[in-house]
Amino acid sequence: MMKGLKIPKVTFRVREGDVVLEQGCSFEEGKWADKSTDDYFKGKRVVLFSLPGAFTPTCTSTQLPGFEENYDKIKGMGIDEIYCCSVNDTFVMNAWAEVLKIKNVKVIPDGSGNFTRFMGMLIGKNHVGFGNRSWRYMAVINDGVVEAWWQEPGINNDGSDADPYVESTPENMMTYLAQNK
Amino acid sequence: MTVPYTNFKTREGDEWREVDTVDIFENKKVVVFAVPGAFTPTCSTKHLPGYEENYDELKALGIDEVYCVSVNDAFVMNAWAKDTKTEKVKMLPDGSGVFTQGMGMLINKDHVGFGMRSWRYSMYVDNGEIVKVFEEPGKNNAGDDDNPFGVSDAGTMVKYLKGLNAG
Repeated sequence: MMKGLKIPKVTFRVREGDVVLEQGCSFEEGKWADKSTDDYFKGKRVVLFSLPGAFTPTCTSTQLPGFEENYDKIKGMGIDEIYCCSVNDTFVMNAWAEVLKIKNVKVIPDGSGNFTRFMGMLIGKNHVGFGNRSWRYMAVINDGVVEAWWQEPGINNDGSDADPYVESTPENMMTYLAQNK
Repeated sequence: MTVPYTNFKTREGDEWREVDTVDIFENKKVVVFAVPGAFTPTCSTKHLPGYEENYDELKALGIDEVYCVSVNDAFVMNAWAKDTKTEKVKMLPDGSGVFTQGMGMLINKDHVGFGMRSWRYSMYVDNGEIVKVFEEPGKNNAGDDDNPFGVSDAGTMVKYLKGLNAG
């Protein structure tokens, strides 16, 4: 059971303020910033969902847009922020958010996989040439402690899954939050 | 030295397609250039567009294909190609880092939260045999570099191939 787990201390390297000048590809305006898990989680009740990769089908068509669409509703249920984490770097995460026109959900780039590994969710996805990525899960995290946890069934390293997406949905999150404001 | 055997998982339309180094290099003259990451500054603004612009000239110099390799997955590489309007250069997604490791070019870029990536280089490969490598100076794991980009550019490759053809 993940409930009650204190999330690990990790620092993420994040690009802020990059301006798209042409073809989505000029970043000279931006700068690097260090963001720690304290910055994201301390003193807040947040929703975190994590997925196998930016620009991949289910995450792109359903999961991230689903949380974005329901952002106001979820915020109204006692949640301060919604975070989308993936083992991708900050440039890729920002580009993906921009392509999907994400304005509300915030992306957390775990390119080194440290956060995901400490959460016990780092899996091998070499069967699709991905390297190590995150198994799909979501959580309510209250002041850095896991309050509620959902993860897709059948976590594995060998690709013996069809990338299930039945547990970590915005609908399940809202059902829980409606009863646990 | 020959290129390390690798089976790349690429996406074409909505389908997976496996392309291995035999498909790519056998009986072909190929230019490969490697970048630290899709959607990152130097690669996006100079490296990739430079090869795209010089693609026709490289073809005229006897090159069959030009490939851009990066330790990113097929979805990210395709999204990047679309974003940069890359139509001629082909993307090689080395998300598992197998090819890059075999090349001796896999470096740690945790200082920017990237995990393991490729050092920046370009090379000319004839029938799987690595004929020439242009590797940026100062390869390291610690991030004590400013991401040099001086020798792996398309212009240097064009010049080299011209010399080769003249010789």
